[in-house]
Amino acid sequence: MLMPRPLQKRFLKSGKRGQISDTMTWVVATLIILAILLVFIYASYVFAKSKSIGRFAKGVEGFVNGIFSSGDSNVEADWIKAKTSFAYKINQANKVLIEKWINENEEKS
Amino acid sequence: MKIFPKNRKGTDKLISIYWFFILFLSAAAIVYMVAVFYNSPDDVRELEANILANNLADCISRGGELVPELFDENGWSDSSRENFWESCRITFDVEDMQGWEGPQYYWSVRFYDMNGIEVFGRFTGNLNLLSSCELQKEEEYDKLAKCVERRFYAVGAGEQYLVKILSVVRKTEKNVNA
Repeated sequence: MLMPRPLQKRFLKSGKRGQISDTMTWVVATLIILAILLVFIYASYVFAKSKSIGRFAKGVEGFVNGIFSSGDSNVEADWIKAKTSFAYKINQANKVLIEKWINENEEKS
Repeated sequence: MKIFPKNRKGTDKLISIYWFFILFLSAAAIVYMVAVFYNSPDDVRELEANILANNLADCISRGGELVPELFDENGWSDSSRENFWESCRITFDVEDMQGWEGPQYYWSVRFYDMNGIEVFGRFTGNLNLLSSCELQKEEEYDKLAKCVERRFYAVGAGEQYLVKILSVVRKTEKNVNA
């Protein structure tokens, strides 16, 4: 406690030591609460920035034995892939080449 | 015994005021956090580009076969050469609430043979948006347009085609926080 000695003596005599420690506890508690709130506010900023509903989950996907297996649960993602499967029913020639070409794009994205 | 004779009640009051202050502070912070989270726009451009690509693919190919009204043995049919986008019921009108200059979309559809050589194709929209796709090959940037490339295989007039659709959506101001 940085206080002149006579003042310090008078202060201690008046029995205010307990009151100071009480006050300090509340001040520290308040600071901790404020810090926690600030952390949460910052987290909400970060979460709000990274919000995107346009991303399809990227799982293991590609053609396995000519049938498209999707790693994600989003049906929309397979909309175009189904067209390839239908086209195979008409003409299956160059299948390996086609699968390689299509999977090349999947790897890229 | 004489330590807290008169002030005890006052201290209790002070503490309850303090607790109410903390309570309101926490409540205000929660309201603020919810507001921050839900006020930030959802970036739906990738989803929009995917939907556009799906619609285009659906227009071109049905049941694995190229739509006969749009294609013949030479590529595009005469009618589709003139009004392909109209026959696919695709319009490029966008809301002009953000003072946008130029179209906010770019679409291209290209047909390749089995040797990987482009046989025919077409594109429309804002060509400037293509640079966004090039820039985002390594890393994604929020402020740039979103690109979605979809590939599929289709059969048309006895020929095999590899179809590549590129769908680009900008609309940055509406989807990304300033």
